[in-house]
Amino acid sequence: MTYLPRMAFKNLARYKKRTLITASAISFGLMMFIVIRSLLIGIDTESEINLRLYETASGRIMVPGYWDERENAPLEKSFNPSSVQEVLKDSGAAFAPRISFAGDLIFYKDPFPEDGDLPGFFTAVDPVSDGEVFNLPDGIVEGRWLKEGDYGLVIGHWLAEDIGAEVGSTVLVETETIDGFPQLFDLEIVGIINCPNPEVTRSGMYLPLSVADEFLEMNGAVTEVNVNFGRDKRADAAFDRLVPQIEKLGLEALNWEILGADFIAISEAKSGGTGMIIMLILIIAGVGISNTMLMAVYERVRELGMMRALGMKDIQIWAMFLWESAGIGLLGGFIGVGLGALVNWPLAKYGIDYSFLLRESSFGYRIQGQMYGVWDVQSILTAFLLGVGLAVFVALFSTHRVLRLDIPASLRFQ
Amino acid sequence: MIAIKGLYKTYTAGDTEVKALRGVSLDIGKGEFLSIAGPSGSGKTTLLNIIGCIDSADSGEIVISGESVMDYSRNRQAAFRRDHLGFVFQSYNLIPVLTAFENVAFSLNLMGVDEKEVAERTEKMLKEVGLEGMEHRRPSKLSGGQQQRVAIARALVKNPQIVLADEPTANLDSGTGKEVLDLMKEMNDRYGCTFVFSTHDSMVMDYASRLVMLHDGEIQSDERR
Repeated sequence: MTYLPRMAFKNLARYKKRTLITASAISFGLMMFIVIRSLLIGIDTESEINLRLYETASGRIMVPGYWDERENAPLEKSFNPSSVQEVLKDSGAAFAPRISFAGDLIFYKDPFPEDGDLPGFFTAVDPVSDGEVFNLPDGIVEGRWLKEGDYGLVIGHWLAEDIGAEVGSTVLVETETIDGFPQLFDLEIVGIINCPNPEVTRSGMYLPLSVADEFLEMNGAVTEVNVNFGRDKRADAAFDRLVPQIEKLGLEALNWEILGADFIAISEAKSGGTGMIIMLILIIAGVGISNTMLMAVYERVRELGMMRALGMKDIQIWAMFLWESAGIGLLGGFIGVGLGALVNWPLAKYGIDYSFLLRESSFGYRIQGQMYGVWDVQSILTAFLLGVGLAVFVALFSTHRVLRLDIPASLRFQ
Repeated sequence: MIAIKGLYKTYTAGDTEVKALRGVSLDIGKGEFLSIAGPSGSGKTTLLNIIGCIDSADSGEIVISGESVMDYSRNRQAAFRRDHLGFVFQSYNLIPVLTAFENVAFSLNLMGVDEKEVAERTEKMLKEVGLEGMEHRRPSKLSGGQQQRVAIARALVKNPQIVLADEPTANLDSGTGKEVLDLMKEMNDRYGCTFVFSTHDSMVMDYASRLVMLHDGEIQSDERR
């Protein structure tokens, strides 16, 4: 049966132009598939890393119901972190208590360009243990990270730019104590942070836990304890094992996927959107291939009629065209993967700077500026197989149409 | 060898019905060199196609070597054509991507003959039809007469019981046509296989040892020479 593939490849060589045009349609589709998948997987991967490094860690322990009311940052839903310390130490996790509270950041002209009042959420952190759970200290671009007991504030880089803040400037924080009494205190901006997570850079305001404890009259209570087991599947499993132990203490432990639900939702919605885009690309490529394959088949109706007259069975005709289409698919697959790799290389190495777009809104993604592609072997293999599969599929359709003609009609075909 | 009884075939072209064959009955013996002649539209190609199992009749019967081929399935008909029939077409119908050698070998490839035997039989056949040295030429590098010789070699290389040729010289000049007919006659004498060919050319008719004249789908005369 080797004559069938031999003939198929001779036919491919005979119609060089058409073979190349069809393979190009496939390769363009596959290149787009590889590049789009690379960028989207890259965004997802990078977002997940940045979410966990700067916002959620492996998960968070809170008073039940706090997460649902987080928009109000209710200080009364706080707890003493010593109640979970033993369990967390036994688990081997790094952990860091925090107080989140709502308040106004007030600043005045000189040193600021103008007077202002900015409502927002403040995060009080333990300067030492927080660095073991989150990567915030590594993001300091001006000044320094917080020290225990200093009346300092670290703010995000974009926020600092927006209000014209500089290291050394003093701001006022207006808020309420845990008992609802007004509170006003001043802090010196000691550091400006610029990290890959846009939520931090856009609106992050961090002060020492001891300072918040003092001014909010928390008496050692915190609103959350963040837990870090690492970033792999085993870490997730370790956190999940912790959940029932925390619940026994009357608290709630939520993992990073729940805490980052906005990102997860966007990511899942995007997967659907991506599927649509990829489907569209494949349909366009499929129509192109289908057209050229139909032309290829119809140009050879008489030849096929003769082959059938000589005793070639339908299944052999199918096989011959499948060889041909698989050849085109392979060629398109190789070119497409090659082109995809060529375009993906700078995307993976240098990325694309989308900071101009992401500063105002990052659409739930936790990437700040550079979008990087990734080398996703599964996508490349899928693209390759899709190319071959697509070519074979449209060849089946075209061949079926020709085989519907009877042999005398095929022999008369002009 | 071939027994045709009461063959009817009607085509529908739009609203028009064309009665291509109207009760044709014919017995063709082994080794005959028979020409089916008649004007255009007389039904000769239809008759040839039905004998060749590439078209079906509305009614009637064809028995070839004791087998009633009309009831065969599509696949069995294909296998019958592959194993027992050779075809020569008016416009040669060679496979353009294949060389003369490969075109002839194609018939044997279809039968699953092993490569060594394919090579031996193909070379021998090409030599017999006078194409020695042209084995590696593609059809586009061969003249019309040479292409038809390749087609005859392709038909004969599998030692068929019957060779069916539809207007085999219609695309050739008279000199080349005569050469092709000489070759067909020589092959008929040498291999003893039955040749049935259609024509409307009187020169071709003269070559036939039996001439069946068709007119409007009916046999007008059947003359043995």
